[in-house]
Amino acid sequence: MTSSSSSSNYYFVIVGHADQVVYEIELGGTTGQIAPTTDNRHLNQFIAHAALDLVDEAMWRNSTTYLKQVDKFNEWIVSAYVTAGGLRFLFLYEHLPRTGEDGLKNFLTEIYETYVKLLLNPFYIPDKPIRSGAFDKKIQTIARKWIL
Amino acid sequence: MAQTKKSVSEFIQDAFCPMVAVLCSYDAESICRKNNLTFAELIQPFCRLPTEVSYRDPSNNLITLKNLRLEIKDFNSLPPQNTLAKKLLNDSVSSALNNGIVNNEHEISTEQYELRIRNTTPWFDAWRDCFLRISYNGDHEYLKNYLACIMVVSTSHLDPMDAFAKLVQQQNLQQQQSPAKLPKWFMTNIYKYFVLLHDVTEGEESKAVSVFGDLKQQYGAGNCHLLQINSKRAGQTSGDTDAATNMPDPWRLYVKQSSSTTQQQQESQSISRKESSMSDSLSNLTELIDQELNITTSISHPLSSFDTSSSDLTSIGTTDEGYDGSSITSASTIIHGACLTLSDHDRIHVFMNEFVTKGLLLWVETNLKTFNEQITSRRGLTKFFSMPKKLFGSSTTTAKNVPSTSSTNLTNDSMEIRRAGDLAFLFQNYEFAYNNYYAAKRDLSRDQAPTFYAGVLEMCCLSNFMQESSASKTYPAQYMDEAIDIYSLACRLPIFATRCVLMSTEILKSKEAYDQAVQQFLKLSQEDSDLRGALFLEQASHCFLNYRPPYIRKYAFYMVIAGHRYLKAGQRLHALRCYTDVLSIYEKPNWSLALDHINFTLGKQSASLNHSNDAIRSFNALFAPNNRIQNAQQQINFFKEYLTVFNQLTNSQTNLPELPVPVIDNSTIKILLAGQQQPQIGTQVSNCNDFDFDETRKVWSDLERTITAHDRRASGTRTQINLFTSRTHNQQHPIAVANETIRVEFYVRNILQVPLLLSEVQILWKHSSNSWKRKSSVSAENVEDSKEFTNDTLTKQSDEPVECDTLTDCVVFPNDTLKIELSLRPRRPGYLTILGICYRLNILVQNISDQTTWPYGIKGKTLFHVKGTRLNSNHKERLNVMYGVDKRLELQVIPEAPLLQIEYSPMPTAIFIYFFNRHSMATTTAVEDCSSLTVTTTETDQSVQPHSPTLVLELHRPTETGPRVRWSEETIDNEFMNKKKSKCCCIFTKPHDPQSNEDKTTEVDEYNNCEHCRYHTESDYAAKPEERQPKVKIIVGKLQ
Repeated sequence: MTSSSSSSNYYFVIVGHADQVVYEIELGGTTGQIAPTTDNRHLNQFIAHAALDLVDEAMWRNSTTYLKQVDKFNEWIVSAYVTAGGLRFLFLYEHLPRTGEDGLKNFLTEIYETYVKLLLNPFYIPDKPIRSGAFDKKIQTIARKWIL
Repeated sequence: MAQTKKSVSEFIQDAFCPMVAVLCSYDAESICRKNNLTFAELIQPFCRLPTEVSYRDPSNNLITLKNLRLEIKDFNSLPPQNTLAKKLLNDSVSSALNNGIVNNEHEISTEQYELRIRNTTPWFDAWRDCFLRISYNGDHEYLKNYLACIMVVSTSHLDPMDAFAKLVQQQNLQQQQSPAKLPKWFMTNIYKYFVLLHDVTEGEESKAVSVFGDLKQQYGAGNCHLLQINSKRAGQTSGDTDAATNMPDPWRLYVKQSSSTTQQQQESQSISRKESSMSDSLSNLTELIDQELNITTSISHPLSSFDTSSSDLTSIGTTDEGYDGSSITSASTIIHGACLTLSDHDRIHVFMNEFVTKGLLLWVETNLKTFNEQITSRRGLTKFFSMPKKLFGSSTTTAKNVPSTSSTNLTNDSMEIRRAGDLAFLFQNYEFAYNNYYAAKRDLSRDQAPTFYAGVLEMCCLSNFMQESSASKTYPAQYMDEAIDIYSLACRLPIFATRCVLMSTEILKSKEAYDQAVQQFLKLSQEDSDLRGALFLEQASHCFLNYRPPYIRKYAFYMVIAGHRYLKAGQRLHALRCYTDVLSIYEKPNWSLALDHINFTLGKQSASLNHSNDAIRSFNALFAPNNRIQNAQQQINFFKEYLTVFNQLTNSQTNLPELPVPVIDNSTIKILLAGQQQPQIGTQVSNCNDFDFDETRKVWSDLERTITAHDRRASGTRTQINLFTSRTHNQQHPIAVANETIRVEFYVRNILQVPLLLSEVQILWKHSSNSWKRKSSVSAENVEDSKEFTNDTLTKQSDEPVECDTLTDCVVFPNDTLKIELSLRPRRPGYLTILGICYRLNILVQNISDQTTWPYGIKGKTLFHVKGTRLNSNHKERLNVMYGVDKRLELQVIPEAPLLQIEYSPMPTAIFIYFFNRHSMATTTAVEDCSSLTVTTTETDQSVQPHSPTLVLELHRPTETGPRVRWSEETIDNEFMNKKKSKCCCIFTKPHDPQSNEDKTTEVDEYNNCEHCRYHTESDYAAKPEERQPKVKIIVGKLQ
């Protein structure tokens, strides 16, 4: 459980209704590209998956969609955003991005907007994995704007 | 959820019980030896008092002790050394896994998950018991100090009184020696009890009585006891030994524990592990036998046997004859208490009872009283001193001033209070204990004596919990948290922190405060010991399941970490158990990184434990086709491990193992019968690699339909189809001819990020000759042929009925598909099934050094799975997903047959039916004359272009005479109808060019355009039409 990943690495995942991964991306570095692959990428998934329990609980306690920090494992912190449809966005980080808590909130909100646009696509079936390249790019631009 | 059999208060009570030392003279010890026991061991089974005893506390209330247990240890016994202690703990955990396979699971199901969880975790209980047994006492507490010492001298001693005096002296010396031996003594003036051991069979009764009289005089009647044992000689008649085997043997459990510890302690340096495991197995055996005996004599508790009369025992003895075998084996092992009769047992029992009631409890009572007086007097003093504190200001400022003058003094006072508290706690006077602890806690601040403070906090909590009656006081959980923090962080005493956690989590669980329990477990899970970390993490994860609603995903995560720690601690089986328990939770789509991690670890570990099937299943899951996000480096790592594991595991197998990669696209499998003898590339038109069957499918099926419609009259024969794909009708077995090539074509897909290297690719087949009958042969002949052959083995066989061509090397690039074409030739008639392919698999990496680590790759197979078209004919078939049969891989091989090969050179671009007619006529006659005749008519025309295509027609020997290809009825032969004819063999239309404006003449002379015609030379015009036909090469004959 060593942390070889640098502090500027982030992991974002959208979790569907049956706890399946709908979309995941590793963000990191200053360029906003996909983070260089490390040996313990699986740890991101483990932590995010474990945080789901707390997200499910926090979601009923808060009236807002953005749940702030929900879980913490060692130095990794998990923030969450729950959509109106019950989809869960999880964001994993070691240090808050430069824009702070507000930036994170804006980031997640904008991703939600992008996701809603994706839903309008009749060829996309909800809860199925998102494989759209355009969506990838859009997320990366949003990430560059708010996080990196 | 981890549950223990004991209730929480019982557990705490058992964890802290009064300790008593036993000091024996040599002669007393030798008397006990007859029973293969030491004196301490002898009385150990009797140290739990079955009856209630009571004493009075300082305020003269009657305290009733239920179920009091004393811990009796030999005077000279030492707590185990560090390394040995670690080994003991490890062993307790690893051995407990096998005990826990009782059907004790319960189900937890939520919307998304359904789990089966074990109710108990026996390995944790075993570890905890072992830990509490071997943990020693700290300097700051008196819980595990000897309260009393039992001096034992036998009547066989020449001067028993002198011996007693010597023993007392020895005890005093030991107590005063400066680096105090562990465990220590409770206080200077401990309780001493004197036992005169009398061997009934050897000693004289009168001497015993007289000595006992002296003893009573010197040490007081209450402090002495005359214990008579060995009422029976060791080597008595056989009838008695039978009875002896039926005697309850309550020692086994105790002796096993203690002997294994002492034994190992002595042998740990010199003796190899083997012997200790031998002794372990021996003790296991004895335990097993013991259990069996217990069942037959229906004794649940050793002490309950005293109620049963001797007549009962004999009656049991008669029913016992069926267990002769077990009694023999038990006789061969060490028998404990061979010289003891039931009445001896009874005497020991009485002795213990007297020791507690008449001696120990009185001592406790007086001591508690004196402690109480001392404390109250001091309290008055300190109150007097502390008056100014209250006057002058806050306690924090005074705390800074006071310690410099009176810290040592204060600590001594507090130590006394603590001592009083501990004594009260041990003898279940929890209220008094709590008051003392609380007072001690108030006396000291955290900074002065952190260890002491933490100890007091811990005991505050425990005594508070144990006062069940006074529910008014809330359980101070925060005390325990603080104590754990101080122990682990400030004092660096992880042993006490661990004890704290064990106690407090039990209490919290009983109060259903699972989140706090989890917090405390996790606090210590990070610390040094991996085994403890793993156990605590596992317990924490079990606690997560008790949340409402259960935190299943947290449970899974912490089980994974626990598994990881188990691995580090070397407990592979436990690690495997952890990982497999939670595997299903991560099997939701796309958590593939996490799933891969688990599968990889599972595969690796089960391989090292030689669970080959599990290992291969885990690894195959690793390369499952839905797994796409793993990066190349990781996959190379997986693959390396896979290869090594595979080589190691499949050495013993006879069949080829099935490989997960590359994936065969089953819908693309094509079978072409009647392939070329020697496959040449690019010259045959009729070869499936030169045209795409699918594109030209329409044309071919039209042709086929025409032929079939025409061929109806030829009864008894069916049209031979040569190419079978997923689109053809494969309800019947394809018919192949022996010694003719069958070609198989398919696509493989590489789903990994690493290029794969396939070498020695071959078709995997199965050939059986039994079921096929030749029309002309007698059926009895087939007996010798009824053999199945297959090349699905690792060993090469000679005399194979099928000859395969091998593809030496091919590379499948990442995320790419590759077409593979293989051929095989059956040598004998029969049934041939094409099973799949076998190949040697390796990966292609740039790094040369990596390549050398597994130079050969692994040999394995991938099977074909074909299915027919989906059925759609009736209602049932429409509702369900059903597929038709597909027999394209099950070929029927008929004996060799003549083969006709017709080669045209040059190939005409258009052929009139007439030509065929003539050729078939000619060849038919030729075939009938002699089947092995080869007619080769070759006339090569050098003037034609060298790249002109060659048409090869292959005909099989017709079963009937007469031409196989005939004109249909409506065909009009226009040859001699005097039709208008052109002199040119080709009709030319000028290429249309819209750009050119020139409107030339539409009618051009034919002869002028003849330069566009290939065959049109000047000499042709001169020749007759018959001579203008293309040259034909005919080969007829039996090939090879």
